[in-house]
Amino acid sequence: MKLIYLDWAATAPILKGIPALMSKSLLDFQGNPSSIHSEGKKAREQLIIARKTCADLLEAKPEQLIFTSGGTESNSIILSSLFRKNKGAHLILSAIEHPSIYEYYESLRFFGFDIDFVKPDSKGIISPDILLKLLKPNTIFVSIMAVNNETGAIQAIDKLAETIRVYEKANGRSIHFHTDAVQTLGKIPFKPGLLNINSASFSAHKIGGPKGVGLLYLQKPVQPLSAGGGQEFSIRPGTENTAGIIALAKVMDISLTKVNSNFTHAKLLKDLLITELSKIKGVRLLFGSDRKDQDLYSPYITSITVSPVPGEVLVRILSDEGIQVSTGSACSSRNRKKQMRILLASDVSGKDAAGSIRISTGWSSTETDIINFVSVLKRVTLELKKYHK
Amino acid sequence: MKNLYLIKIGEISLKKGNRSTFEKQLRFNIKKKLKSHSRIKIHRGRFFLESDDDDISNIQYALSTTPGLVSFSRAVKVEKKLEAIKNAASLFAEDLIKRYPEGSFKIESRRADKGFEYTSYEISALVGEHLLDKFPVLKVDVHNPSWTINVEIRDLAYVYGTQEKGTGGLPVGSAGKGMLLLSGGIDSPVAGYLMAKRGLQLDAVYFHAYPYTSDGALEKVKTLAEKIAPYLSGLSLFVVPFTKFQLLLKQKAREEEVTLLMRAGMVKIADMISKKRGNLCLVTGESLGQVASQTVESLNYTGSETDLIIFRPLIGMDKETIIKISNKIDTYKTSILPFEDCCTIFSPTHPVLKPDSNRLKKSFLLLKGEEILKEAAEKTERFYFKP
Repeated sequence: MKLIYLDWAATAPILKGIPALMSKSLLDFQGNPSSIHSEGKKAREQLIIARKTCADLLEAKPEQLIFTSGGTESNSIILSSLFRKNKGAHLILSAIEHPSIYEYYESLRFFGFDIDFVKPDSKGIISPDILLKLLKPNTIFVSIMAVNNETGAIQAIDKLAETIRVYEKANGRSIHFHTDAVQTLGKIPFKPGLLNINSASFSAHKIGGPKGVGLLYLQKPVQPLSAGGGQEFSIRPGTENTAGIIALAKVMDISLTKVNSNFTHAKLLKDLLITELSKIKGVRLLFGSDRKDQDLYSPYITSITVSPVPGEVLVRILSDEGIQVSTGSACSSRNRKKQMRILLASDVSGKDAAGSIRISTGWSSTETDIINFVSVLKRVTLELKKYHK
Repeated sequence: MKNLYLIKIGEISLKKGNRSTFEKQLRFNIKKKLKSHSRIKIHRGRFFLESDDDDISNIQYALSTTPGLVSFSRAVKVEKKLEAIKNAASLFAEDLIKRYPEGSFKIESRRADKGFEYTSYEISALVGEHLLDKFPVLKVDVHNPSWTINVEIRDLAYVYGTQEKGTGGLPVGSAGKGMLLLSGGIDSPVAGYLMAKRGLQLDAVYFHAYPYTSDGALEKVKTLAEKIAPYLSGLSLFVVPFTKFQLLLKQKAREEEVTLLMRAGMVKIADMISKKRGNLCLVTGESLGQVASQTVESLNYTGSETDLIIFRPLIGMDKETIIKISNKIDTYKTSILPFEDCCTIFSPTHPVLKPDSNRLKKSFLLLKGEEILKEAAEKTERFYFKP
């Protein structure tokens, strides 16, 4: 059975050459980058090269990039830095943030912050107008995800930033604008250095790098909550993951230089996927069913519903057939509402959300993968629909 | 070193003519759990276990999870000399002080061999004095001690450490064989444990509705089986592929009757496997009024689909009591893991609460599910869990 991997938004297969590069780096650069001796210096130089590579690719300055353990930690550094701000200040989180941001609301509220959630429209998009309505004179922070991992919705970060800056100017109080850009890296052109944003998060394993390493773009330093040995400009202290960082720079170099052709390839596959899916009765696109809306969504991510068939059941059956896709919502676990949060906030009904699966592609996905996937999906749903009417 | 234990039996000692059958069973169940060679001697209703196993915690665990014994104490056999007795008592005291750093103690003695030079009272006083000298932190409390060391003078001198609690009840296998309907929930493992304590030897059956239930749910049930297996003196778990029958219900049954017909299907399969295995009863974790399928009417119906007797040891218990026992046998934390699965999509929003048995029996026949149930019983997979 040939495996068809269509869960790239969860993690990407490791790029060829990366395991070898990492094992060589582990051997060649064993010193602690903070040490003054020659072994330390050798490792430190590698970090400088890697930081420069990443900075150039993101049109940022090297000192604006912090190496972290991944998207979650990058987000966490920003969100936890808020605890140092004045209690009672107003924060805006989008209702469709990744849990590593969204779930902070409880402790932020506990410590006295005033939090509003900005909801997207029924297409999953947060327009500058919707955001503007929520901005308050004491707003100090806004977080809006650049590309949503479940809906694929692409937010106009440039326009949202502009709205924030205009408001900021009129109001005289600065607002930190953070964006979780994990799903953009190497997939959709996104240069934080050219946008008027304060911070953005990235992760290596979504583009074929190893798990456990990521990036935080910081326009200006923030005061972090954690403390340590001063590494990464004291913003992410802890001995650096040299081999992981070298690998991160490498996969970013490979994928970001090819971002346009990657994008075209993904679009081609998505077009094919949508055309093929439209031939199956009982399968619906959750977003972008109107073709003229296609540009609002990442071509790498497609969410469909097979309701009333539970998405979780379909995922298991497909997995047994060698096809790896995912579901954002587990069928009936206690956390059901929590797991469906993003889809529900994007105006998807509970029933459709429970029957949803996400197909996500990457650079090595092929047209044959799509055709084979759809043909299995057709056979399986036809069978399941007998029992779920 | 050989480890010696004194084991006290409770209920078995009330037996008259067939007492030796129970004793034999208990001896067999204990020996089955111990890895190394061990011998059990029975003397005037007391069991003496001598084991080559060096791992004391292994022996203690085996004894504390074997139904049929009420308590056990570690023992040392020494020469009938005061010095030897004192040394043995010190050894126990050292361990007990670690367990009860603030605790108090007493020494209790019995002189069966009246030829021994000290009286019971003198033995206790001398050994106690020795411990107080050796361990200045110790305090004596003869009324309410944290721990007690017993000394017995017989053919030799026996020194016993503090008494550990056993499971009680009757030895597994002394009361026939049954089949436990094991779900992933809180109740059924407790039901199995309680019936094992009445001497019932159990198999378990689990109904797996993959892909509606995840493999995670199956793993959870296996973990539960592993946890109760010591109490049950080992356990065979039968995993039944149940999806086809559930889909049949989804297609053909009246929605409000689905849950009860599903329970009936489970009972039927448990019945089929039981008859092959020589099990004479079914055991469920049902508790009156807990859910719609556990009303008197519902239980009457599901019970009528088998001619085996169904034991429901939790029938009169409230949830709090059940959870207490579930914590005691360490299944609670596993039971509440969130693997409630997609099976809920088969459960009706408004299930029938007071079903009419005859009507449901007719509904069941109309399903024409006999073949599917037979096939499921045949395709059942078996997993064994060591005691």
